[in-house]
Amino acid sequence: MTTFVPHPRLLRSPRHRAWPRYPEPAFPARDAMPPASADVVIVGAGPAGLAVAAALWHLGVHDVVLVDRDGPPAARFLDRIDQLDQRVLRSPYEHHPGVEGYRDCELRDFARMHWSLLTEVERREIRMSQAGHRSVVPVDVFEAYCRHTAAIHRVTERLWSGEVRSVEPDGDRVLVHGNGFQISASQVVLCLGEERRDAPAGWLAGPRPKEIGYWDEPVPPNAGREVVVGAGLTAAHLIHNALDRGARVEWVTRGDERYQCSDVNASFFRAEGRARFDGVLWDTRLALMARERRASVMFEFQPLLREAEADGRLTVHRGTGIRAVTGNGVGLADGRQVGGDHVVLALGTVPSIGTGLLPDELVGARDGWPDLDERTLAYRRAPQVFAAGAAACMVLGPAARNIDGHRVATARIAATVAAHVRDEAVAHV
Amino acid sequence: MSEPYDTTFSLPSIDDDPDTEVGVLLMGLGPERLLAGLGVASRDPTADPATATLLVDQLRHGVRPDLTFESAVAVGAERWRVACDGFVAANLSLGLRSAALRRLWESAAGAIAAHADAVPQLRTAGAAEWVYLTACWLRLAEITRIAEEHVVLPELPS
Repeated sequence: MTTFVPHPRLLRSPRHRAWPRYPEPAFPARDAMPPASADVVIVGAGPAGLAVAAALWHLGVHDVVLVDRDGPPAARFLDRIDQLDQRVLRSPYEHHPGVEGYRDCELRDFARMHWSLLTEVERREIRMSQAGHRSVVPVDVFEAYCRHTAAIHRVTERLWSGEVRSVEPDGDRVLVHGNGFQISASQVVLCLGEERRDAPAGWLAGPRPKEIGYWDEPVPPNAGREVVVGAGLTAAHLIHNALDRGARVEWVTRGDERYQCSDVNASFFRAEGRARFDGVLWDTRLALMARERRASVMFEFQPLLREAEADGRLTVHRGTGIRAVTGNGVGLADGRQVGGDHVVLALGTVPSIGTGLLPDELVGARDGWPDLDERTLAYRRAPQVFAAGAAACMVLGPAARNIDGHRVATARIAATVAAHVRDEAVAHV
Repeated sequence: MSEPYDTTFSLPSIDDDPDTEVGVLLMGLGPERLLAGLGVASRDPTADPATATLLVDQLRHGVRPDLTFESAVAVGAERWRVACDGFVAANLSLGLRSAALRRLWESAAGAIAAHADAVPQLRTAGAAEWVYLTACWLRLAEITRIAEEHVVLPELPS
């Protein structure tokens, strides 16, 4: 048996290096508000929204409006990453092939074009990817690639910053209401991403004190003893950052920590893995999700965290639940108290499934998942509205939330949307 | 029983010139894209190979109001015809082709650079033009056919 533990240096890609800004095509002046009507509205311009917009462009659907609360493509995704000082993505190069079937520039070729900007470690990762091995992708490369993808598919000029308040099917149209705008669309694609998971009721007695924060909030730089709650990649980054600052860390994992290369078992990035979700009973899918969509840490962290644990900078509290979280630390279920100056909760995320935008009866939520058509990813009870990203996990499996899952979801959604737009055009003629 | 073969392998170098990395990448692109890249590069002496390549990507997607993919190919074809005269004047030929792509690239790029002073048709204004001219030369027959036929098949629906 061959044991492979990737080196921690893979985590140290430079961020915000001077990356060339390529001449982007100018686009005509436009109104501050999105147009009142469009063939398609995409809500959310993160990696999933960008993938859907690019695919639609290739299928000839050009009357598309994107609305995103954070503005530029993938802005929120990148902000979160920077908040954690995360330098690489664990979605490997081969998961970013550009729009399927159109020979768009792949992420790996995009990185190779910028060879002189890459470190030796980053170049070696490209070679590993070319040889069919697992690789990690520098965030700088991904960010520049998103910019290029947005420019060539006219996403930049079709994207408006705005908060969507509701999505309301109305006959053969769908009304998208936002802060100061309303768009009547033929079809809507929800690419809503995920929200942070809040602490369970009962952990906090009353309002959250300032000594308790979540993973997407700044950590006070003077926290000398930090308590990190959570067992995933986010928790690992928080610990890594605290150790780098010279803080001592108490890590409450609740279960045992798990190290693995990718977010979910690699089989779920392939058709045979997705087939385990295809047409099987709901309870079977739920059980699979519970087993497979579990927090895990990239292997690269393992030597760092083990070394810190061995020399006493890190204490890991495994296998015990949490009774309470206070400004002084965490009370464990076994009665022990874990003290610290600051507690950071990294409890994972909750997929946004359309609740709060679409009426509840159209979302058809069951066990926290929307009721989607498996072939098209349209809401069964609102067939002009589609969901991509983590919301599609019960159809595509746990990898639906990953870049590769966006590719699969996009292929199904874009084909359906484009066919509908063509049918409407023919009917109009 | 022990493995009868040596199963160790090495990955390609990571220390080669960045232009070699781009060059090897370009060797896998279609001839129209190479001619368009040559056209873009010959119009802009300051362009580096990455800029030229990404501009070609923009042209393929029809998002630039100032230039089309077809016109870039036409400019590239014109530049290619001039270069072909240069190859004849310099008595340059590819000769034996190495199966090692990086060595093949370095040899071809080096040959063009070595003749650039003496043969004006092979003189390039910037790195992008030199890289794209090399890539075209390595695909001589295809490039010449496309340049002579003036056929540009739209690669993308738009």
